[in-house]
Formats: sequence, C-alpha cells, structure tokens
Amino acid sequence: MQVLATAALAACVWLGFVVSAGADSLLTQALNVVLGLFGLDAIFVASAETVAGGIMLGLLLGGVLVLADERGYGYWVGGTLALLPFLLSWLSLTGRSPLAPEPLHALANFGWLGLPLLAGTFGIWRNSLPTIAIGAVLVLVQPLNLVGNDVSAIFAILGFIFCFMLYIELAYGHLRYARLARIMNYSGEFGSVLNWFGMMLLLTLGFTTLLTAAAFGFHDLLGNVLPPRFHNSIEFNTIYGRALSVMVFFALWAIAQTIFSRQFLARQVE
Amino acid sequence: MWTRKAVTYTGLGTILVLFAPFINNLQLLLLGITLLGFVAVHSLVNTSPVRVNITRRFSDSQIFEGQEAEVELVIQNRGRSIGFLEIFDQLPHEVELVGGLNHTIVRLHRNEALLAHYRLKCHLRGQYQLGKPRLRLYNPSFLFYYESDVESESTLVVFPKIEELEGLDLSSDFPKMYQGAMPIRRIGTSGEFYSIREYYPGDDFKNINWRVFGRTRKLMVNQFEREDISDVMLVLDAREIAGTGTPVHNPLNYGCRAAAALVDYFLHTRNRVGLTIYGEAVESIGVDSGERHLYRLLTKLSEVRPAGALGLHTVVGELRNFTPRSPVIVISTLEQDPTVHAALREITAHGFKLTLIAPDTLEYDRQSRIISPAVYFTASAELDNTISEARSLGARALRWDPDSVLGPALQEVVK
Repeated sequence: MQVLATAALAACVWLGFVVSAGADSLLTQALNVVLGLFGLDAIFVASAETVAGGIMLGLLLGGVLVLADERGYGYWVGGTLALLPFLLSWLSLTGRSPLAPEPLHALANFGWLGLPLLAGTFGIWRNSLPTIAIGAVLVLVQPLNLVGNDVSAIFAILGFIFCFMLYIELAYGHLRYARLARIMNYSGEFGSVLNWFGMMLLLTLGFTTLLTAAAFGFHDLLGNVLPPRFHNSIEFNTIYGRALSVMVFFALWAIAQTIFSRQFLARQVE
Repeated sequence: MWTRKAVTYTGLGTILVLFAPFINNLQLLLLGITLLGFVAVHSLVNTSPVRVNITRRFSDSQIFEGQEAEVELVIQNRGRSIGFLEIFDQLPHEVELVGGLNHTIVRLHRNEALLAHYRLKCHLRGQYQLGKPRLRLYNPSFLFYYESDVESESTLVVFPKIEELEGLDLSSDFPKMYQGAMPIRRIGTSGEFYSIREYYPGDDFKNINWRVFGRTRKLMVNQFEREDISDVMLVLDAREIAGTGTPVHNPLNYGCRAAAALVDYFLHTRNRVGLTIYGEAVESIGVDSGERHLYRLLTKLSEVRPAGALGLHTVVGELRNFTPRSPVIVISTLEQDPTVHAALREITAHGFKLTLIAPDTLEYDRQSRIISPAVYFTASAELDNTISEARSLGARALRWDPDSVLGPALQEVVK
C-alpha cells in the first residue's frame, strides 16, 4: 500500500510536468525572479532530466527523513535539511563552497522539484496527515502556469488524476487502517478488511472515471437540450460554461440521491 | 453522516471546478470533477442500513468482586454484506477490561456470524448493565459513516467478596426447637469442648477424661457444646453517609463484604439468616436457610446503594418480629446517627444478642484528604464513645479496620 502510494506520487510529479509541456510554472518563475532581485542567475528550470533528478532526490531525502524519524532523529535531520539550502547558498555566495556552482545549482533545482516527493514520502511512511496534504498541494501547485492545457494532453491529464487519487486514497487509507490495526488484530479481520478496501478503491475509481466522463459530457447534452440562444452564447461555449454544466450535473445528482435514497423513502413511509 | 474528508473533497472539488476556467486549466477542472464524482460514487457504497443482531454470553453472569468474566459477543448479519463494520460494546465505568477488546472491526458477509471475545474484571459489587453495542458503518474511503445502537443489553451481577470465617462463636444462649449446626453455649453433643465435671453413674465411658484421671485419680467426664439452629439477623447501614469515600473504599462496601462473609458462614453452618437494610427505607429479607437464600441475600447486597438518612432506630420495629434472644449483628458506620444510642439500648433490652461491627474508613479518608483532620478526630472520638456504650450494654462491638481480616478481628471481640 505504501509502496504503491509512493510510486503513484512519483508518477504524479512526472505527469504534472508532462501536462505542463515544459512551460515554466508560476512558482518556478517566481523563484527565479527572487534570485534575479539579488543579481543572481536563474537556476530553477523544469525539463525531463531535472524532473527525473528531482524525483530521485525527493525519494532519497524522503527515505532518509523516514529512517531518521523512525530512530527518533526526525527533528534533527528535518532541521538540517531545512537549513542546508541556506548554508550551501551562503558558502557558495562567499566562495567557500567545496562544490562547483553548476552541481550545486542542479542540486538546488532537484531539491525544489523533488519537494512534493520529500513531503509525500515522509507522510506516507510515517502516517503523517499534514505532510501527505502538503505533498498533494505541492503536486497540484508546483507545475501551475498561465498557459493552461486542453484536450491535446488528455491522456497525461487522466493519468495524473488517476495517480493523484491513488496517492491520496492509499496514503490516507494506510494512515486510517494503521490506526485501526490494533483493534483489527484482535478481531483477526485485518487482511479481510484491507482486501475489501483495496478492491473497493479500484472499483470506485473505475466508477468515478465513468461519472467524470458523464459529468464532462453533460455539457454536450445540455447543448442539445437547451434552446439555441443559450447554447450558442459565448459563456456556454467557454471552459467556464463547461464548469457550470459540471456543477449543474452534480446538483442534479445530489437532488436525485436525496429523493431516491433508502433513508428518504423510509422516512416517507413513517 | 459526512466525514471531514468528504467535506474537504467536496469543497476542494468545487473550488477547482470553479477556479480552473480562470487559468484555462483542463487538468484542474477534471480533477475537481473527479473529486466530486468520487464523493458521489462513495455516497452509494456501504452506507445503506444494515441488519445486525448482537447477543452476549457470559462465562458466568454472577461473579464475586475481583473475579473475571469472559464475555462472548455473537455478531450475526441478517442483511446485506458489510465490508467494514466497527462494533463498540458499551461497558460501565466500574468494570475493567483485562483481555481482548470491547471494540472490534469486522467484515461480515450475508448471513455470516462471528464471535468476539473479551474479559472483564469487576472490582466493585453491583448490578451492571452491559450494552447497548454501538455500530459504526464506514464506507471504504472513510467519506461517510452511519451509526446505530443494537438492542442488546445484559446484566452482570457482581457479589461482594466473601471472606472465609471459621469457628466464630456469635451464638445465642437459647436453642430453637429444630437442631442445627450453630454452636450455642449450652451443654450438648457436638465436637466442641464445653467443660469437665465429676463422673456420675450412668455417664458414657467414652466421655471420661483419662488424662485428668491419671493426674488426679478422680473420674471426670468431658462435656460438649450442644449444636442447634440459630436465627441470625444482620442489620446493614446503607445511609448516604456510609458511601462517603471513594467508590471502592467506603464503609458501605466494606459493610457489604462483612455481611456477605457472615451470611455465607452462617448459612453454611446450617443456620437461618435474615437481612435488614436501612438508609432511604427499611428493607427486610426474612430469615431462611439454604443455597438459594444465600444467592438471594448476596444479590440484595450487590445492589445496595448509599441513600437516605434513616437512623438505626427505624430498624427496631422490624426486629420485634424476629426470634427473641437471637443474635443480631449490626454493621454500621454509626456516624451522624442521633438515634443510635437509643436503638442499641432498645435492641439489647429486647434480649437480642447484639454484635456491632463498625467498618472504619476514617483513617483512609483522612490520608486521602476526603475529610479534614478536625473532622477525623471528632468522628473517631464519637465512634469510640458509641462502641464503648454498646459494650457497656453487653454488646460485642468492634471498630473494624477493613485492611485487617474480619474473622480474627471478630474472634478477638467474641473472647
């Protein structure tokens, strides 16, 4: 479960880069601008090689942090990792660095790109909900840019979404079931309940994909049903119109579920 | 019910769907739809009501203080298959869980039955209600849950701990018409030695004390006590003040243990025992004998709660119907009872053979700072005075420290 979640997170970081098609993200640009303010060269850049390097460094540092935390040195190693960039920067700027500037810059770039993995790996293996959430937010926010994306990258987008859901669900599922493991060990049902969880996760992800497709396609259905004046409008034919259609779809779903749910029917009988 | 995770997913999904168009980002739009879709799909999984029956079995539904009881929960699924069911059997605070857990998580197929075990230790007498078991049904990703209680309650009766007493002579001087095994201070044919006297023709040769003859050259015969049934009435103080202290260390609990020990002793020596409890009201169980009567009395002792402020004097009326000149054993803290002096006088005036046991937890209460030193000294002196007065009336009175064993302490007083 933890291995799968870690792999899903790594895939997520990679697919996030593929979806953004190499365009520099807002945060990367912002970091370069800050460096520029101090008269330094831009060192943060996202390419296939740097992203791969970032994934590996993130996994490595995350693993080190996990091992350190297991032995009770989590805060020491975490503190050292947090201070290390500042220390290396200071050594480099004052010309005392034992490393040449190029590898140091590459290391900083890898560290930045591997940040979601560092946080996520620690969260997954140490059952820490805040760091799982930080990893998820970084995965979403880090590759964001103003160029946007469309259906041309649909497979990469679907892959990203699948991996993202897998990461969140497996990491959170492991966290919850690990908490319940003490109780489940007494009942001897641990394996059975976990199998059920895994099976249901895959099934529900499959149904979610179908529902996502239905919600996405609902826009076209509305286009056929609504009067021409409406479906020919500029608002309806932008991505904003599609977003509104999605909200209408889920509003209808909520109403239908409320009306047809068993509890509701039971209350009507009473 | 929605969990925080479901609310977070729905909120994040809605924000992404509404925010993504601003930056023309299909990836975030689809992720938002997926999050909403995931919540929508999960609202249909493992959230419909279930039909689960839970029954409880005990290794022994009647136990004594300090003993353990094995509880077996039989969980039967009468409805649909359930992937994740959390069961929490509600226990009273007074019982301690010493093995297994009253909290379990199971997967139940249709018509499947499972067993869950746990072990309880009961430190305090009482009648405890176990249950109702609480069910919590989660869907696999912890987005929704459904809670309900199952109608399944059981009663566990915890009797006061019984201390084994031996050779107590709390007897009457007067026999009843049916023979029993309670030694009374009359000459008879039991195994208990009474005295020796000179031999008279016609005495049984086997009763001649040959050792005395060897020493004195005079024929002497041994005389033995006569055993007879005796009716014994126990009077227990269950006033509110008897419950002062901690739930475990209070005069009422110790009084119940003393009463249980005495009841067990007298009934097993084939006597007839009755019980009168006063506090909020006067409750009386008439004298009787046998194993069933023992359980009747122990059950009554297990359910006694401190309440009310009726004095010992209210019991005197009940004792008027009791066999005259029989032993009456009063177990009372004697505190804050203005009627106690008059009542003791009246009981002894009726000719009852009075024994007074005052469980004394004052020292413990002072050390635990439940009472102040000033209160301790006042109450202690008052207790000593009452006990002295009881002794002056011919009663056998004992200020009993519950840390000491009752049997030897009573023997001391009886001497």
